[in-house]
Amino acid sequence: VRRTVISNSNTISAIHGLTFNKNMLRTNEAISAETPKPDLADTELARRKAGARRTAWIIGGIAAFFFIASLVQGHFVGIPH
Amino acid sequence: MSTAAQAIHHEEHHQSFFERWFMSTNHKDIGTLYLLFSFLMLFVGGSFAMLMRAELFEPGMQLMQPYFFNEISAMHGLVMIFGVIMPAFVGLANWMIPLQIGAPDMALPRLNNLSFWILPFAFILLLSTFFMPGGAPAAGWTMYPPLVLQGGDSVAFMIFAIHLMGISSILGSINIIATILNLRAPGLDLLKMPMFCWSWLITSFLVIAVMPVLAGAVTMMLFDRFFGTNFFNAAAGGDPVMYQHVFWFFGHPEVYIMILPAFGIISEIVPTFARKPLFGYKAMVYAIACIAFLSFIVWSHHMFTVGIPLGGEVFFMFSTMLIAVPTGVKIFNWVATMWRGSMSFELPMLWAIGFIVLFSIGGFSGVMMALVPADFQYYGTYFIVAHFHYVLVGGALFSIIGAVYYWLPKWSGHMYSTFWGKLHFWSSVISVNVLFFPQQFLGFAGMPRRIPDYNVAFADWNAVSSIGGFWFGATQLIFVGLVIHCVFFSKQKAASRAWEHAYGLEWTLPSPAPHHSFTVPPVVDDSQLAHGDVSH
Repeated sequence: VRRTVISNSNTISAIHGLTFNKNMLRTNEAISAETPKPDLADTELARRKAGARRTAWIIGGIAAFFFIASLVQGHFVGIPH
Repeated sequence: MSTAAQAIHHEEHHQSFFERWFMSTNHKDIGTLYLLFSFLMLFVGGSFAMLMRAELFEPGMQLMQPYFFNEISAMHGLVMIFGVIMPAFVGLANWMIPLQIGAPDMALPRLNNLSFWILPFAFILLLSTFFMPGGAPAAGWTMYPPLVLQGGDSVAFMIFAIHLMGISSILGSINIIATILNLRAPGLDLLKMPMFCWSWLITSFLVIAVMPVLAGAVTMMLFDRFFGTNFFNAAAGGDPVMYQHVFWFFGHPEVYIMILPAFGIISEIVPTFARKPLFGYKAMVYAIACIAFLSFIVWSHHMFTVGIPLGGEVFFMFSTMLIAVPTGVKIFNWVATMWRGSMSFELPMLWAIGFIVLFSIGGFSGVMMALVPADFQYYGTYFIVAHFHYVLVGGALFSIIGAVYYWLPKWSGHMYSTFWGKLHFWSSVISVNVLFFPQQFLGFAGMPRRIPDYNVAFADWNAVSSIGGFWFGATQLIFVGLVIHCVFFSKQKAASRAWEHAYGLEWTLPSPAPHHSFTVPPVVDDSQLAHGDVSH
C-alpha cells in the first residue's frame, strides 16, 4: 500500500492534487492493532516520580551517614582509650 | 483528562472520614493535620509557659515544687521546638510547595502520611513521662549529661520520643527535597522558584545534616544510662563536654531550621502588599544559603563559658558575627521591597512587619552575645531567654501566624474577620513585648534562667513579664475563634487571587484549592511570579 505523505515543504502542491483515497482512512482493525500509547502527562509524571524515589534514597543515605559519623566521633572522643 | 487524573477524581468522592484524615496521602490534608497538631501543641506548650509565669509572678514558691518547675520548663522547650514551630512549618510546606511549583502532590505521598503520624505517638511518649515514677526529664531541652542521666526511667521515653521526632523530620525533609528537585512544573527553573520553596529546600538539607547528629547524641546518652557505656561519664574517663559539642552541632542549625522558612514566608508576603516584586531575589536566595552554611561553623558560641581554647572562642565569635551580614541583606531587601511601594496594611502584612521589627530586636541581642567577653556576663541569664523568645516568638511564630492569615483564604475559600484579626495582631505585638522586653532587664541584672524562685530585687519586672505572658496567651484564643469562624461560618467568599497583587502559581487555582490540583502541569508565566521576571 502506498501512503501519501504530506510534508510541510510541499503541503500546498499536495493539497491541490489531493483526491480521496480509502487508504488514507484508518480502519477499526488498524487502530486496534496499534500499540496503545500511554498519556504523555502520565508518562512524564511516572518518570519524575522515579527520579524522586532515587533522590529520596540518596538523601536518606546522607542522613544515615551523619548518624553513623556522630556515633563514630563519640566512640573516638568519648570512650577512654 | 489523563488516566491518573480520572483515578484521582474517582478516589476523591469515595473517601470516608477515617480514610481521608487517617490514611490520607493528599498533601493538603496532611498539611492541615500538621497545622492542627502544631496548634494543639501550641496550647500544651503554652500552658506550661503560663504555669511557669504564674510561679514566677512573685518571689517565693507559690504553686509547685521546684522539681515540677524544672520538668515543665524542659517540656516547654521540647514541645515548642519539636511540636509547634517545626511541624507548623512542615504543614505550611505540605500545603504550599506543591501549589507553588505546580506539582500534583508531594513526590512521596505515603511517606508523607508516615512522617505526620509518627509525631502524635512521639508526643504521647514524651508527655506520658509526667505520669511516670520520678516524673518527666527535668534537665532542660538541651538534656545535658550528667544531670539528665540522674532522672528516672522516663529518660528512655524522652530519648525514644526524640528519635521518633527526628525520623519524622528527616522523612518530611526527604520528601520536600525530592518534590522540589523532581516535580517542578516545566519552565519553573530553580532560580525562578518562590522564596518559600527556596527557604524550605535549604532548610531540608539542614534537617538532613543535623537531626541524625541529635539522634546520635541521644543514642549515646541512652547507652550511658541503660547499657553501661561511659561516653559522657567523666568519672569513667568519658567527656560530658563532648555531648555539648555534638548537641550544639545539631542545635545551632536547628535555630535556622526554625527561622529560614519564616524568611521565605516574609519574602512572599511583603511583595504582595508592597505591590512590588521582591527586591534582590537572587541575593535573598544566596543569603539563605550563606546563613545555612555559616550555621554549621558557629556552634561553640553556645559554650563560651565551658572552657574552650582562646583561639576557638575567637573563631566562633567572628564566625557568629559573620551571620549578621547575610541576615542584614535579608532585612535590607524586605525594607527595600517596601520602599516606594504602594503599601497597604492587610493582616498578613502587619504580621510580616511585626516579624521584621521583633526579629531584628532578637537578632541584635544575638550579635551582643556573640562577643565572648560580653557572653560571660549574659550566659545562663534571662537575657538569653529574652533573646531566643524574640527570635522564636516574635520571629518564627509571628511568621507562621502571618502565613495562616495570608493563605487561609486559599485553604478555606473564605475571608476572615479583619476586626478580630487586627485585635489579635495589636494585642499580640504589645503583649509579647510586655512579656519579653523586661526579661532583658532581668538578664542584665543577673537573674539566672531555669529557676522557680529568685531574689526580691527582680520582683517588679517578673510581675510585668508574667502579666505580658497571660495577656499574650489569652490573646491567642482570638486566633482560635477567628480561624474556626473563617473555616466553618464565614459567608465572605475568597477570590482565586485573594490579595490584589498576589502572584505565583497557587493564586491561579480557585479558592478553596481543589482537593487535587495541577494534575496537568501548568504553564509558567515569568511575569506572574511573586518576585517578578528574573530571567534577565
